[in-house]
Amino acid sequence: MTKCLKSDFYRLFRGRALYIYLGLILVLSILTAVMNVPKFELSEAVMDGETITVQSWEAFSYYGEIVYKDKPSGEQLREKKSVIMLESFEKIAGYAAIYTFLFIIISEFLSEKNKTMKNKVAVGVSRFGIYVSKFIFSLAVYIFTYVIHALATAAVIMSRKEDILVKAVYLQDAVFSLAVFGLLMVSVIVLIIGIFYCIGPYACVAIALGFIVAAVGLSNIATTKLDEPQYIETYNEEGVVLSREDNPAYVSGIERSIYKGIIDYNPVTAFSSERDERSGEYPDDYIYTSNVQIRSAILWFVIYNGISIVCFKKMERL
Amino acid sequence: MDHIIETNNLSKKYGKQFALKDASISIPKGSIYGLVGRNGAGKTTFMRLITGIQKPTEGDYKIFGTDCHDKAITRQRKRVGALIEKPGIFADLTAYSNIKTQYINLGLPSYEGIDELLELVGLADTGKKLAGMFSLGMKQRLGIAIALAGSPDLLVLDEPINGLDPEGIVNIREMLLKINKERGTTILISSHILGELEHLATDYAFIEKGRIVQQISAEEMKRKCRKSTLIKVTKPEIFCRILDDMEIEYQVTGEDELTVFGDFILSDVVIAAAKDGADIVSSTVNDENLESYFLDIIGGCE
Repeated sequence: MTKCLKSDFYRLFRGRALYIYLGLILVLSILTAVMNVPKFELSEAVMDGETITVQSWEAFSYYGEIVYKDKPSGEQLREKKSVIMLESFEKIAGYAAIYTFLFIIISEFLSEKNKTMKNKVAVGVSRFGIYVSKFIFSLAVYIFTYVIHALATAAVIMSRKEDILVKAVYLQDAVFSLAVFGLLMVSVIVLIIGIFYCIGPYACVAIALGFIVAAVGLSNIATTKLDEPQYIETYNEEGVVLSREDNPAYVSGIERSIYKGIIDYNPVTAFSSERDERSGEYPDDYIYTSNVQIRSAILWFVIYNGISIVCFKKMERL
Repeated sequence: MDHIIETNNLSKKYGKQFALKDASISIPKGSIYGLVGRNGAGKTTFMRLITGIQKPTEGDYKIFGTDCHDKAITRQRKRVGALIEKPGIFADLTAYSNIKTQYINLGLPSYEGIDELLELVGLADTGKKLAGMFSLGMKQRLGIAIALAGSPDLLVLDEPINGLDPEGIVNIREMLLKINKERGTTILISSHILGELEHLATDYAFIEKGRIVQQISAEEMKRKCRKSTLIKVTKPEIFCRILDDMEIEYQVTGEDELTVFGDFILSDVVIAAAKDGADIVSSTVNDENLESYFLDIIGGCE
């Protein structure tokens, strides 16, 4: 097994996949940095007595709104303003990590199963040893991408201009999301190994697609749940609240965090919803505005999957 | 141990179909054993079973005297190099790195000899070119080099000259003969190019529809395939005397039949025999090679 591991790592460092990953992270970082330049050039507009702050990104072109209550006075205010999101570099790095990780691992398994595994089996290496070493190898690659992701997250959080409380919220969110990401990846590794051992590469690809479909479905559920307001309110013509009662569909606490996690780490829908955070006294209270970023989501999905497909094609050339 | 591989009723079944059925062969040490058969006859399946890539449905085999069910078989497999079907190479590595990966798989203490292997298969000048960019023939050469990593005592090659140019075929042939002669490496080889196999093999096994239909040594094969003329005569004893006088090799193969070997002038024999009142009723020339012999056998099976 040691020999297999040594051989796997030799291949990883000698091969291109790792360097594609690192290059991808670098390019995306530069791209994100460039795209974030106009982030602080905000424009403001007054609409129906409310101040709307429009934020224009060249590539992402989005703005959002935030609704918050002024707790000390007990008065509810609605204000549209720019949404400064955590994603940017950190999330892009995260998705790059996911896709590249999957690319490295799946391509590794495809080549093993179809071609190079013969070389090992023919010289007496047991299949069990090959798959165990592959599992350890996958974990090591995962940890590496995880660390890169975590560093990217930390860098973004620490560079933000918000106060320490907001940073803390971001940090909590990032740690939680990373944990979800980690669990997802470990389960994918275990599944891939199990599937390749028992069935074959096509089933593995089918399962991977299944994962994406499941992730999309889950995030849709999560989005729907999180769109539910905390209160059901009625207003008169002047906009004064006439009645207000608790919304039974509103989710809070751990349940809310879980839905948040699902949305955060779904590669397809992450950009399709925006999360505003209420700063101040209610850091756990989130309001989602939905589906401004479908265009970006499609863009990134095509980019990453396109890269994966091209890479797979390359692998199949043998 | 006279035989490197011994199989006993080795069978492999896919669904209800037998890809290999009751294959029992013995491969002598130091031989170049040619496996001859049509597409889908079971050659590759046989090689996959021998190399442990697949497990037999029935039967067993021994490699270097160790039974396939014995745990020690793992140790013996380190003495085997194999190129089965397409070469197992990493597209994103150079030829050198691919061979080095196999050295690591084998647990070899040093990486000396990689350059020699590259030289041997004619890939010494590929440098940093990635294997994915190689031509079919170059990949085949690299596959052979990987199989040769660690100087194996047994080399299993499935269609190794596929995709090679004429020069490449000659190079590989010479290389195989060299390692067989110098290192005493036993080689199990299959090829569709029977003329090429004829230059190499010391023993043959013919395989058809998953069954071994004949095993024969190259010597015996040469004897069987030797050019001969079957003549039917009226007075065989007179022909025997004439052929003896002319120092022509022959064999009495029937009551009024003689098989005459090699080239001879038939008219001289006919004239000499006519003087003694003997006649040739008919003559049939038999000039077989491996290809025609194979076709005869396969035809016989059908």
